[in-house]
This record gives sequence, structure tokens and C-alpha cells, in this order.
Amino acid sequence: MNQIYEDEKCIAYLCKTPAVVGHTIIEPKEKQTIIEQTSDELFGHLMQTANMLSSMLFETLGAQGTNILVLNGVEAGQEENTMQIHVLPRSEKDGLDFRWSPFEDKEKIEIAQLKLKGCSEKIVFSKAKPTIKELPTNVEKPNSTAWIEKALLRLP
Amino acid sequence: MNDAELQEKIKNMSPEELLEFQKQNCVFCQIVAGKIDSKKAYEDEKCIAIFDINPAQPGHILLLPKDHYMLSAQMPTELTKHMAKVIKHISHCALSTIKTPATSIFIANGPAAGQMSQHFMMHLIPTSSRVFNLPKHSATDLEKIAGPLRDYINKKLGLTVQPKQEPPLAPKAEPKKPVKEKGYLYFVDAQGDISRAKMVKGGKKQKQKKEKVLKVGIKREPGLLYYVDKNFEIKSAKMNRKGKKASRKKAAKKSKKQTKKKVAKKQVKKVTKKTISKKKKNKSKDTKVSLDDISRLFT
Repeated sequence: MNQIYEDEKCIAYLCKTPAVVGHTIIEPKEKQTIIEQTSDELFGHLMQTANMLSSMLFETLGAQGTNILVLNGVEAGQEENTMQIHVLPRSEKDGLDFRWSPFEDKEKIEIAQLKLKGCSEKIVFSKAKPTIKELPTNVEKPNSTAWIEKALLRLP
Repeated sequence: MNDAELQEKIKNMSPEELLEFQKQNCVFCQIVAGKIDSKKAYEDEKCIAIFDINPAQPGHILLLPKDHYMLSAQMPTELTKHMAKVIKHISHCALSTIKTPATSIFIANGPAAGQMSQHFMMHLIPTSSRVFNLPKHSATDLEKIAGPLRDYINKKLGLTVQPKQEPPLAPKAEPKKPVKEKGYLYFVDAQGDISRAKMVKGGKKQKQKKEKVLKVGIKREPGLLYYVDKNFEIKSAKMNRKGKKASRKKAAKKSKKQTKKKVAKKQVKKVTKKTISKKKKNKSKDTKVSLDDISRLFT
């Protein structure tokens, strides 16, 4: 294992079949297959470490740029049973090209956009619940006798 | 304005002015401000999601931070965590509504990596067919890269500098010292350890086996008597030699030993000589033919 970095939550190591020199992979220690299964906190942490590692790779390997890639699902190119974040240090002549050709079927695009818009606008992050203040336990109970006196006084 | 003039202007700017200049020229900052129309998918206090003009797949979304950052490394940690959270939820939406089998998240830092704009962004692409192909090369010397990288990262993060904090050790339980038993003689032996031997009553001389009790390893000095205390500690006292020097005695002992050895050697030599000579004599006896034997032959 060519481990580079270890953490409480994740491990980073060099890929055995790299696309470029210094191709690293970040994995959570808790094995989960896709992003949607991870908690918000974990995924945030993973992205943060990817961010940090990308800057480290940038400094050490003399790269001109970095890519962070998450392939989520078999159709996207995921190969192993755990979710992985790829960090690729890039230089201009490394033979990789991630530029895509634009999708041409406009109807499909519009349909997808409409659907996504309707869904994503509903995303509301539950804010931290306001903590309920505990009722003070030492409330003085009205003296029974005093209460009776008051009630008697009110009588005409 | 000429390009040369522009470059000079940029050089003379302070970093704050540069940021503002970049903001003015950044397309995405204008989108965030609302000066350019766009199809928004999601909006938040910190970030905004819009649909890409040239989508790779239907439903291609760009997630932008509202402030201007060029690279992911410049962003504060809270923002990255927040954006990760948002993009996770959006990808969940894509999976559930468009019903694509997979999504991919793409971040590019620097023009060499394929960043087209000056504004940092995360791409979310719902994919039904592959968009990103990672070629596979066989790696030969991964350890060569991994070693220095690990060291560098650890140095930067200050991981190796701070050794792992060991949990505070409970006060060491002192090894229980053996107690002196009755009927044994405790003494300090030649190795400086404490050992014991059984004492015999009634003046019977018998060789007793020595047992080692404690390993201490004290270096013995000449002229001192070493003994074992009541509390099982080795103590020493000066010996009184009545004015005689220790060296003479020892020398005498040594010489005696040496002479003994010499004598022994001599004796061994003598014995061997004798035995050899006896054998020779025996042989000579055998070879001599007695007269009687000859007479027997003739008769």
C-alpha cells in the first residue's frame, strides 16, 4: 500500500494503475459504495482533504494544475465497491483531455433542467434545532394555605 | 487600451485592487450579481448553482461560490464543506429525478487541468454514458513518489514533528522483591546478582546447588564485602586487611593456580610417555621368538 496520508476518517494512497504520475485516491475508512450513503460531514471532510492534497501535489510534483474527480456509479467509471475521490496532478503535455463535446439533443436538456430545477429548489438544509431551555426546576409552588386565604378574601 | 498598458496597470495594482479588477471581468461574478441572465437551479447564502450553457450531458450543473476564488486551495474550509454538502444533495436529486444511473463530480484547478474561467466551480454531470475516461498505465516505482510525498505532507501538517501522545503511564508497579526465606544463605555471586544456597545444620559438608534469585548486575570492587540486606538490597562494607595489600594475596593465588596447571601438564605428559613405552616393550616381546618355539617346530 503506497499510503500518503491517513486521518481519523479517510486514507489517501497512490493509485496502482495511474492515469498520470501522482494519481492519488482518497477513500473513507467506513466503506460506502456511493456518495449518497455518506453523511454530509464525512463528504465535506473528504472534499476538504482532496483539496488539501491537491495543493500538496501541486507543490511537490511541479504540476501546472490539478483535477479532482468523483466517479459516482458504474456508468461514470467507478470500478471498486467503495466510493473514491481521484486527485490528478496535471501538466499540459500529459496526454489527458477532459474537455467534453456538448450534448446536442436540446429537448432532453430542457426536460432534465426542468426536472432538476424543481427538485433542487426544494433542498433545504435543516438548520440546527434551537435547544429547548430546560424549565427551572426550583419554581416556588404556591402555598396551599395562602391560596385558600386569597380565595377566601376574594369572596364578597 | 493596448495589452501592454493593461499588463503594466495590473502589475502596479495592489492585491485588493487586483481582486476587484478580476471580479469586474469575471463572467460568473456578474452572473452571481444578477447582471447576466442564467438558469438558476439552486441558490444559497454562500453558493449558487446554474445550468451549463454547453452541457456534456443533460442536467449538467455548475456550482459556484458567491465570492471570487480562482483555485480550490484559496477557499476557506467551511465553504468547501458547505459546497460539498450542497453538491451531494444535488447529485441525489439528479439520481432520483432524471434517473441517470450515475453522476460524476469534476473540479479543475488551473488552465492546464482544463479550467476555462477565472472563477472556481464544481461541475456535476449526471452521466448515462462515460464522460471521463481515466487511462490505466502500469506503475513501476510508486514508492519513489510516495515516500517523499508522505514526508512532505507530514511536515506541512506537522504530523511527524509531534510524536504521538502516549497516554500517561500509570505509575509503574514496582516489581515485588522476594523475601528472605529461612534456611537459605543469601549472597552476591560472581556476576553481581543475588543468589542463595540451602544451609545445612550439623556441620555436614555437602555441595549445595546455587539458585539465582534477583538479577542486579553490580560491579564488584576489590576491598569491599558485599552482602544482602534485610530489605533485600545489596550493601557493601570495607574489609579490614590488617595492613596487607590485596594484590599480593591475589598474585600468590594466581601463581599457585598456574603452578598447579603446569604440574598437571607435566604429569599428563609423563603418563602418556609411560604408556607408549610400555606398548613398545610389549611389541618387542611379541616379535622375539623364544628358543622353545623353534625347538617345537623342528620336532
